[in-house]
Amino acid sequence: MLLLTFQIGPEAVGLDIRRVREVIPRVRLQRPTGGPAWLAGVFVYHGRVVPVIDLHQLAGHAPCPHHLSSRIILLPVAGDAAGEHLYGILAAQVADLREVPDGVPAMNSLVEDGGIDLGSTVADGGGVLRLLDPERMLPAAARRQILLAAGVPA
Amino acid sequence: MTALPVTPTDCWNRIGVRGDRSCPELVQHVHCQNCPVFGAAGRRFLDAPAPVGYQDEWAARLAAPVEDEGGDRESVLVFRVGGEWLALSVHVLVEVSNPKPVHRVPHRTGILAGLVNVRGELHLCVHLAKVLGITAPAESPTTPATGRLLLVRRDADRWVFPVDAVDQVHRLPRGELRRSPATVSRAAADLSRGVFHHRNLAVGVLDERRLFEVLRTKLR
Repeated sequence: MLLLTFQIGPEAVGLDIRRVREVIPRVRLQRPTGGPAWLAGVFVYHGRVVPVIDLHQLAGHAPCPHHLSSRIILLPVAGDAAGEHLYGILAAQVADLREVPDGVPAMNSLVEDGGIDLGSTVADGGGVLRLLDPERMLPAAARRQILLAAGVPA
Repeated sequence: MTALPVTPTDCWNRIGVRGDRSCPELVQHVHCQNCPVFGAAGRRFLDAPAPVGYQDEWAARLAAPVEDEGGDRESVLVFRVGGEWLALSVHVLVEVSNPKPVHRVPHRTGILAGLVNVRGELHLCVHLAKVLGITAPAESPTTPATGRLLLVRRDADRWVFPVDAVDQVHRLPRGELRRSPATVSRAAADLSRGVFHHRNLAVGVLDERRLFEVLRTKLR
């Protein structure tokens, strides 16, 4: 499985590239008034408003740094069969691809109820890599809000 | 992953390929560009803050609606020979390279310029201007900065010809081709499928099938 690797706070995270629609530079984001704290903002992607989540803030770290390698990963909204609705996640060090063998032994994540789940943990060299699952990543409330905003019946 | 130290120094300039080549890692990596230390140093550029205007520029670029690529399109490479802008389908294009020395063939003149070595293979080099009857002088003289060699191939035939400048690959809707104006020389008109307008220039699209036929018969 080929992974797009990036950094969420201190953690190295990988995401199956088959889930990724596009990786784009960090664009100027607009924060809608009254939006939730984890929403980095929205931007217009080819005529469509796309919300962007700052995973760093959602996970309780400092906001994603303003580096050239901080990029937006566009993913299709789960449950949208047509695949038209997208949301973005803002992450740091989005600059590498890594091949991880399928079926590599993984430890399931230890997450409190309502906590952000960055996915199961696998060994990667001397360190560990989290295998991000976009469906499990967001707390239920945040996921519902994104689905509602995208106009997908939850 | 190797355990090489990620030094904040420019070791490639001191002991690497741009220095005295004394670095022991060169035995394994051959060139600094394959070495993880060099790669890590390059990646540090991405840790710099984005330049002023970068975020706004990308926001504007991504906000634009997707260009409707409807209809049948073909890709042609636009280049200049003498005073004429021409285009050739990318299907026959193999390589665009920097100018290389042309070795003349004794007792052969005319459209055959000679032999050219491209990546170790010898190819026949032809004067496209003479094939097309282009005599108009170039509006800007050929300089080493803009001159290129084009290597083209169709079936087993390979030809190289020098051009005075290469623009870019243009996505051409098939319906956009107009008939060549009557001012175009006879030879050029026979070898062209039509013209299209690109940046206020009339670009003649060469018929690759006819061009290869003519080259083959003239140089038999």
